[in-house]
Amino acid sequence: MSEPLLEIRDLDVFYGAVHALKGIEIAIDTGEIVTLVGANGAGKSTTLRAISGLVSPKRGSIRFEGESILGRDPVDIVSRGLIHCPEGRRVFAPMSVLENLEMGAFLRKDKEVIARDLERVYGLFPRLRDRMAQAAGTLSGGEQQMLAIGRSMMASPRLLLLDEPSLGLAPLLVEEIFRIIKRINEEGVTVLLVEQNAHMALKCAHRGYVLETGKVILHGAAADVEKNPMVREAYLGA
Amino acid sequence: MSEFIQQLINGIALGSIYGLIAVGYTIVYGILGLINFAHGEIYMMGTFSAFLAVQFAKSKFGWEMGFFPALLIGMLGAAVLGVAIERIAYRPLRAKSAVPAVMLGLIGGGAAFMLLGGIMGHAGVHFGNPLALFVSTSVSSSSAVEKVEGAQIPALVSLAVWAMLAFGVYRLSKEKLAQRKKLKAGTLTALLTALGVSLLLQNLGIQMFGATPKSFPPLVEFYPYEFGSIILANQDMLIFGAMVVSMVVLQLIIYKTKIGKAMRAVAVDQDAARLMGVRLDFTISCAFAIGSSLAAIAGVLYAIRYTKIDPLMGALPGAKAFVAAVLGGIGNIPGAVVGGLIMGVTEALVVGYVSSTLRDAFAFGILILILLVKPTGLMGSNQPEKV
Amino acid sequence: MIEISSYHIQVLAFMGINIILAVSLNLINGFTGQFSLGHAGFMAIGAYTAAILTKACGWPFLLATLAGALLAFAFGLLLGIPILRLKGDYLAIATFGLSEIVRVAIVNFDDVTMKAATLVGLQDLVPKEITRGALGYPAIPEVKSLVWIYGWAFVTCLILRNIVRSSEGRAISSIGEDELAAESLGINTARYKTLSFAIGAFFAGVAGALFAHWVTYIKADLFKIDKSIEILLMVVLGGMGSLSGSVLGAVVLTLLPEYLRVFAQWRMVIYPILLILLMLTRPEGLLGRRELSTILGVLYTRAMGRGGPAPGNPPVAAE
Repeated sequence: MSEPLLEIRDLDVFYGAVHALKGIEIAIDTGEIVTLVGANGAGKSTTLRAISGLVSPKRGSIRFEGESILGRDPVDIVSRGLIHCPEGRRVFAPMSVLENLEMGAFLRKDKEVIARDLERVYGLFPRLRDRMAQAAGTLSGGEQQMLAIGRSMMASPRLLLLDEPSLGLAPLLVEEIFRIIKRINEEGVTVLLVEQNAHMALKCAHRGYVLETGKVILHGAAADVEKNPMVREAYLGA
Repeated sequence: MSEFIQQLINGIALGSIYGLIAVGYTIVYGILGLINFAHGEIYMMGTFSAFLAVQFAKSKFGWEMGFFPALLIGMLGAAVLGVAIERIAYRPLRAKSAVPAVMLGLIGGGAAFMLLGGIMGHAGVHFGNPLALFVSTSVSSSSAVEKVEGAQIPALVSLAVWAMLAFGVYRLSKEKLAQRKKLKAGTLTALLTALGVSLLLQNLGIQMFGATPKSFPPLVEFYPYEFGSIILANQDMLIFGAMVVSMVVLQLIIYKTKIGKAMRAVAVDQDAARLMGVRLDFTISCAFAIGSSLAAIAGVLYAIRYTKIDPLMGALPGAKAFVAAVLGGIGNIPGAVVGGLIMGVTEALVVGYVSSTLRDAFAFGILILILLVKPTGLMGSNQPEKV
Repeated sequence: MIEISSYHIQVLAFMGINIILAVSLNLINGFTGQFSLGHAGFMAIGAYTAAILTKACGWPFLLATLAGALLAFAFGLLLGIPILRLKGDYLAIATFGLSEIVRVAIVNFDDVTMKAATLVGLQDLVPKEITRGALGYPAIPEVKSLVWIYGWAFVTCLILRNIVRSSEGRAISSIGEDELAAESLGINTARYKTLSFAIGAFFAGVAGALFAHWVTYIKADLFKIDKSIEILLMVVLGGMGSLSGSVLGAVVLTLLPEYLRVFAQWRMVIYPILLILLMLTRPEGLLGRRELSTILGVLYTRAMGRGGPAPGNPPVAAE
């Protein structure tokens, strides 16, 4: 690989006076699953929000497919195929499941391709097809998470940013979500996965980064990160 | 009994007007969480746009403009105004790119204001002298000005206005803005800004159109259908019909079009909508445009039915329509219509059976009652109360 | 010595009344954080009550003023209990509605009382004209005294300053900062909110009484939403939660329209533009939550020591 799909260098983000990210460096190659683990408030979600343009970094560079996307409007970033599936599902509760999925394809025009993607999402999450006409707010937590991921898939992502997809789900569902993430990745979507469940995330990912108080303190192949004694103690409870 | 039915008819016509205005409140509130106090003035300005257009067409081209062209111009005028208000006054409260917006808005607004006044002034349309004076003095010291007494006052005004523009632009320089970004625009700031816009438009209206009521041309001639002692006016039916049609079209827009879905998504969750690629600013502008043109429909219909218009005509209907929106559950479009109808019918009944001077007190009484008993409104709001 | 005309005295009088209004509204809006748009309503209650008492019942001015203020206080208490459950926009709208109801009630007062009295057969005992409806209430005994006005302004500032600095004041301020947090600390928020609302209403009533006896002719239309907004602007301009800021705001916004008089009818166009610009550029007001004293330090303390509630404006110069 000559150039990474996404390259973040020296990224600084402030929330008012709070220095949330302090010189983050991350690189993701096409086809990978990369995970960002760390405690609450370490800056994982902020990193994703900076990538997708929801917050404006103070300093640094973010390059996607070789082009700088720093400070770009979220709309522009979405149109490049960089899709952020936010924490807490954030489905449009009063809208139907189908409408939510259609919102995912908001910027796309080609109806046939959209219809094909819809089938693909229904293939990944058969339950969504059954509940197509139901208001998203009436779904269970796990179904809402599936809808959120499915909605992001409708944008036909090249890089999918997933923020805490397993949060608050029953263990069985967590397993299923991670299986689906793997499957999405196998279908050619690069994934940046933010997780508190470091154990599952590192098992699923190719590489991992560990964030602590706004800094990357460790990174490497997921298996190596998992074996690191410090990580084991702090995040894996071993 | 027949009097009751008569009041009911009056009430439904009035209520349809309130409903149309209320929908604008509800759409904007649903999306921005902002009570657009200037909405009543948008209703007024839309009506006046139609009025001026009719007069202009007649005096300039001898064309007796019909109902639909006048309505369309009114809607357009209101929509442009609504979008402009959002850009100039409300967007800076939330946007990070406020500097260019405010600068462009103020300067563009000033220019448009001058241009409009100039055109109208030269076309000889009765548009209130001060504006024409204001325009000519600020553009150039035209010789026509000196003939008119009191020309120095508009000159001073234009000076002051431009001084304020300069000041505003200075204050919103980048550095200042960086500080302000931290300050989340609170409810108070937003509300006061909206009140300011409302006051500004009222007074601008008084200056431009004069405070005395104008007779709106009877674009649809009054024709009564009599059933015994009950009179059903064609205009009342038009009002009700227009309201129904508008609502159907609105529902189609909101549920069937892309921009409608974007509006609903933004109303639920702005950030999530942006992550879908929804353009927030554009979507909000659309909401303002739609709400404002509905207000203009209400205004033109009101003017046709009740014949008199004046720059303060928006204040009370605006307030009552707001009550209607709260009554129906703010953020809830069908609720706003139902709320409007309830308000209209109640008002007609109060006028008919109690006292016409108490009509406004009842409106606000209903408001307080509903706020205390069920703040989410009769039909529930799609937005939890923001604390 | 510049010559002081009756015009100047009039402006000074309105300035003093506005100081009372702004400072008392600041207790509600600024310190307690309860957005009220109904101050003019309480002012109307005070104005009408006091005017009727001095004119129709021959009460002395001070007593009538207190009675008007107490009635406003009572209304504040009574209405505050249910209405202060609402928050933010809703509260603003409800208080606005409330003051409109007060206005309409004044206009229809005679009618309604007469009808009610007739209903119970007491029509001979009730005077035909109490508020005189939409025509307005004329020929109120004149009390054109800056001493009264600035005396009251001083008392208002003093009492509110003491309230704000007391432990109750801290409880009130904590509600303004964060109502939920205050509640979780065991502060009886409903009680303090209502109390501050009623105290604010009391002084609005005082201001109304002073106003009525200065202008000698009042009508309900003088106490519309415009008046409430005007007072609110003074509070916002000076800074929410800053008493001296409110004084400053009242002074500036009393004088500004007078200076703008040269612009004749454009005045009312410029005024809202200034408001919008203020909101866009400095929404926290001139002083923010700080007091002038912390800014001007010793200078201010000296000024207060001499007893002038409006720094820089010796109020009794006209006497």
